[in-house]
Amino acid sequence: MNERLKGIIENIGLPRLLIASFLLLLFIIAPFVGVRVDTSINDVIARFAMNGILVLSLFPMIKSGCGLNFGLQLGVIAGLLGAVISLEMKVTGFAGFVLAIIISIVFAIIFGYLYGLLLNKVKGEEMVVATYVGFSAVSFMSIMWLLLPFKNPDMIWAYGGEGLRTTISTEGYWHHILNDFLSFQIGSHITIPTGALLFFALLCLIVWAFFRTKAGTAMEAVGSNPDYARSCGIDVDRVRIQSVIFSTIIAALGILVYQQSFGFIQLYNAPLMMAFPAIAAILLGGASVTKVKMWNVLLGALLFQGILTMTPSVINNLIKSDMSETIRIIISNGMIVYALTRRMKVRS
Amino acid sequence: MKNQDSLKTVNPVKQFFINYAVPILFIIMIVFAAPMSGLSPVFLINEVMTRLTRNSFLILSLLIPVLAGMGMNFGIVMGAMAGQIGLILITDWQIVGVPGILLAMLISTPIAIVFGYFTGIVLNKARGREMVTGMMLGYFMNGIYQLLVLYGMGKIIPIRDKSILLSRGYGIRNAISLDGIRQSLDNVIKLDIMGIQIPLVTLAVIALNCLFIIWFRKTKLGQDMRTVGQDMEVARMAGIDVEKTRIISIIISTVLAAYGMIIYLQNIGTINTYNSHEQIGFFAVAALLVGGASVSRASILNVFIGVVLFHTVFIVSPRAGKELIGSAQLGEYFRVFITYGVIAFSLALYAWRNRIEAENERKKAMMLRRASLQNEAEEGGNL
Amino acid sequence: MKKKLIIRTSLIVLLIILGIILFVIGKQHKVLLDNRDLTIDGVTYTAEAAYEIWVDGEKVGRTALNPGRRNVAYVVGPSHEIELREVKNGKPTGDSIVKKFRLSVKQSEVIINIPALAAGSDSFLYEAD
Repeated sequence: MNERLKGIIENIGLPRLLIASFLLLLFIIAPFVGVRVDTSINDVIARFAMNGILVLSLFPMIKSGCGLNFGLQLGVIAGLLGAVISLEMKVTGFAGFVLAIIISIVFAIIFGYLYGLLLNKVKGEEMVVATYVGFSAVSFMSIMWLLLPFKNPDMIWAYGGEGLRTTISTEGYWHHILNDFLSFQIGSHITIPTGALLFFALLCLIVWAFFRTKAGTAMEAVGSNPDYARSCGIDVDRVRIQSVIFSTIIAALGILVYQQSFGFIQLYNAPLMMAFPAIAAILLGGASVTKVKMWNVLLGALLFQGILTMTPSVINNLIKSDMSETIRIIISNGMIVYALTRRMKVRS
Repeated sequence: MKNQDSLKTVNPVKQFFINYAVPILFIIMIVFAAPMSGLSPVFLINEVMTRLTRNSFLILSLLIPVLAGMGMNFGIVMGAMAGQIGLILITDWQIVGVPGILLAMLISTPIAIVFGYFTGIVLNKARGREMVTGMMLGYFMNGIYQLLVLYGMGKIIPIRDKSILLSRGYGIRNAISLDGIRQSLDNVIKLDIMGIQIPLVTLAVIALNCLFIIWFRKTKLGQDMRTVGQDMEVARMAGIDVEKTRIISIIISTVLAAYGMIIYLQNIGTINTYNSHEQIGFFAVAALLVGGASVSRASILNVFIGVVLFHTVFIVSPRAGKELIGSAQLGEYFRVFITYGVIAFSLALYAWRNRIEAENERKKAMMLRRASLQNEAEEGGNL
Repeated sequence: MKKKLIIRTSLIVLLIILGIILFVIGKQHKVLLDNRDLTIDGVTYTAEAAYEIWVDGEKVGRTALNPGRRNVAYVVGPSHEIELREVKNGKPTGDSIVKKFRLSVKQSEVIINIPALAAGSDSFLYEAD
């Protein structure tokens, strides 16, 4: 019995089990401390739709053996460029959002290609190099946001200032364009952001389907056994670059969905730490540095956003002080440290 | 094949420029930006002297893990946290002057040892990924530090001085002024040579740390660390307890970082309770890399060259930026970009070179085998 | 093995002692100097004269402390010396009183009553609430 229990825990993973039960506990306590369960569920769903794609963006690179994408910010920057350029062109509504997507994809392909080239040169040290490439890209773009000649008064500082604002509202352009698409209410407090969920589902489907194609299986082979893949005549470096481009494009789309839901485009230092919560989420969902399945993405995003939504409201009501930020730091970074210390099989 | 050729035919001059690309770039930047900034030489030298006394000790704390082959120890932020806890406590107890600084160091020592021990254990489990793990551990421990300082102090840990607590009655304020110990180490003996202020005692403490590192490298433990750093398997066969040696190297680094942080903050004179430590890891690592160090090789000389080059650029670049483009904010972003960029570039360069070497080894081994097979075949033919 | 343990223990004890010493010699005390009327144990000391006050060889305040006024000095460590130099019409009279006093680490904030000190009372120093 004990052995079996151990086996089950081993299978699910201790941290996952702890956090899942913690989340369950929060939902149980919630009504007793005056937190409405239905609004909580509403928030969790909204944030799941908002952040899920960023979590999904890690998928291809883990599959191809590039590890956790600590340089996710590159994709985010591509998305930001798409967003501000589409706003600059003053295209509103659905067309504006599609335009932002197209521009983002173009940038994501360029960034992803260069980033992939670099990661091929530093095999084995991808994660630490990626972290600092991500950081330096964000700080470089901070300079660019100041200098680039944007003209739209909705985006630049109102008086005397220079460069773009730190937060730009998407109101009047494509605010909630996906969230409100086919959205419906359950009860009085739960709104389902159907469009955003559908878009997320579509991307998941595309990724899932891709890994059923020949190119996808090649990518998986490169990740699980590069030597074998090479002997099969697969150009390993090329496939790895493809996976990096793929990840970067999804991250770019992810930040666009995030912005239309959040209502603001956040520039400058906002994207600096964006890789960490996404990574923590996918690890929480059961992925490791080398292995990932689609349900890891979905479960991870749901659990992680659940924790992020529930802790502030419940804990605040419970002990009358806001510990949510601290708890977020401990859970997300602790999850990443835990995953990094797991032994992985030796790759050449 | 191509890689091997390119590596073999690279001439020493080119090799030198690749190895020292970052320092050379910084020297070029200084040569251009220093005159443009319009700062007087005396002012500039004074500023550099301040940065030198402020930062050197912290950066020296990075050296020993490099010796043990664990790369840049981004985990020194945990040492910095330990140092800050010491400083917060002596501020509350109103212990001032040099005794205050020494007491803060004394308090931070056991905390830093515990942090270092924990880091060492975690890094032993994340072999080959020490740098990224150390960095993430720093972020993780930042949460624990917040738990302790923002929620524990004034509640579980008694704090009497209400002026350093938040208005809600517990948790330390965002900024604490260190009036009692501000520059008290620097001011014990301060020379003034032609307008240049030289804080002799702080420099002596830094020199002492250098001597410690030089001495430590020659001890049995230091030699063991070098062996572990070069090849863990060889070290293990030689009977060295690899895990323990690695843990000790991180403990020493963390304790030195705690002292370094105290010296750094006594010079600045205020603690940003929740920010001061965060950037420390990046800035220290970047400065060391600018000094010509790499992930596997770092000397005391690298530390001092690094501080001077890195901080001179920091001092002149905002001014130069303002003269050139007319924006001070830009200079700030530029600083951050340079810091991250230097780390990204150096780490990438190092990983790249490592890979080329590994590939060459593999090809050489294959060629030798092929040659011996060929020989055997030929001998067989002769018979 | 046992020797190692003894050395380690004594080292830790030594460090703790060092810590206590640092605590004592580095402790900063806030000393309020009151040139005000005070009644202790039925004896009333009235503030009449103005003094120039020196604590540990440093002058406190720019001018003399007039009756009814208060000044503050920060001192570090356990033992100190206070000197009162009487001032009349802006000129020193030449009269001076020197007194040594000790402060414990618990006394973060103390008051020294100048009239009591000038009158030679031993209870011139008491803790501020």
